Amino acid sequence: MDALTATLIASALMFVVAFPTYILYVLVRRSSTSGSSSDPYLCGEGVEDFKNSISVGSSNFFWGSTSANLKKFYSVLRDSIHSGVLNDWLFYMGIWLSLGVLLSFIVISAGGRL
Amino acid sequence: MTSFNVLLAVLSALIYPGLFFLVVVGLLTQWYIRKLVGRLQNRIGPKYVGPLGILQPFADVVKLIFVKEEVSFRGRLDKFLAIFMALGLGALSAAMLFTPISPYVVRSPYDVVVFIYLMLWSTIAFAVIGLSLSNPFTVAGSSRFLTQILFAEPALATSLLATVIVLTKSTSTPLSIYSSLTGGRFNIVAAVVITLSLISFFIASIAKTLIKPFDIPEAETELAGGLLAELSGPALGLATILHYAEVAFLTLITTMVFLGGPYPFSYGELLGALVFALKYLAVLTLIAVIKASVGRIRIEQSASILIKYVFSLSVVALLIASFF
Repeated sequence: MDALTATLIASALMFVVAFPTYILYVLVRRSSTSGSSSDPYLCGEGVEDFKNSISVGSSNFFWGSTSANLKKFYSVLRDSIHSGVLNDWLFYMGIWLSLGVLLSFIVISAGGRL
Repeated sequence: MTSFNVLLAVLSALIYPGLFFLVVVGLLTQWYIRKLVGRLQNRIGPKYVGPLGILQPFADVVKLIFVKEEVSFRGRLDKFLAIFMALGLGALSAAMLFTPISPYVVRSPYDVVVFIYLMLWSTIAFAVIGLSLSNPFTVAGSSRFLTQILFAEPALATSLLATVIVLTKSTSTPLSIYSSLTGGRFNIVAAVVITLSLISFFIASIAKTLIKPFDIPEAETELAGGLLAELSGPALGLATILHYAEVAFLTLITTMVFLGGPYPFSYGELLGALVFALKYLAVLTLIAVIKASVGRIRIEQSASILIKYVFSLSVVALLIASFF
């Protein structure tokens, strides 16, 4: 089979398995869920407007990676490259442009082979 | 496709090597890890249900799904997270059909891309679990999980890609999982690439399945279970099944892709199945020893280890596989 057929078959089979699993969950759950919904339990405190008070902003989801690992990267970018001196900025742009040229050379030369 | 093929494909996805097989092997895997970790820590481990407690994980899951009630509350997206867990199980079951142990094999050139895409679904399911329960612990767990996965998942994909590239180079079906598992070209470059990829894939799969030392997203003493803190009853049962199906799936893939599967025998032989099972148990034993002997590391340590030593290793393997 070709790649498209394989993708379609795999995706279809994924749903073939997922659908009965979900139906089974709903059937079992309906018989055992306890009555009406209640408020979330937060350390014994009643929370009125819980959606605002306990949800975390989406910008904080990657705090681990940004604060721990990319901190040095950002500090280099901010302090030594974007220092306000024009030469630093030209150096920074020069690096990116030369990287782009290098990548395009690799892609073009590899494209001839592939 | 003829109607026989359709039936075979559906049965393969639902029973063997799909859903039923993954659930049974996943729960047996859970028993083996729990028992071994227990013995390594001078505990007995599972004991009462079945011989040597082998049926304990089954009893736990049956109790969670059919006996325990699910406590629900306002603002929680119960059915949404169940849909994603079901899709995660479906994706793992469908991915098993790319391997030679399946009666109905899905195979095409470049199908490794689809395979990697299917592997991603269980990760998405676990991220969605944390985000759809409005609780600070689950959100914090989800945040850590996403941070860890940001480095673990690319390492998994890259190391798998490197191995499949090197094994299917200059064959008629390039980048096909099935071809790399059955008719791979093995040479010295392949040996180097597979060794590097094995180390990278193994550590990344431990990080992906939240096994110690990478269990900071569900740190029980700190986050009260993190991602799974608010789950109970059938939802927790489903999450347990998905988690151990994922452990079993990644261990099976490690055994098949990087350790040669039933080599020196072939798929379908009795001795081959025995060798396969021994390799599978060896990988699980290594996981259990690591789990029993190391402590939990912090999230920035985990991210740092994954990017410095695991992802970089897989990139080196990919470069070697591409240029030699």
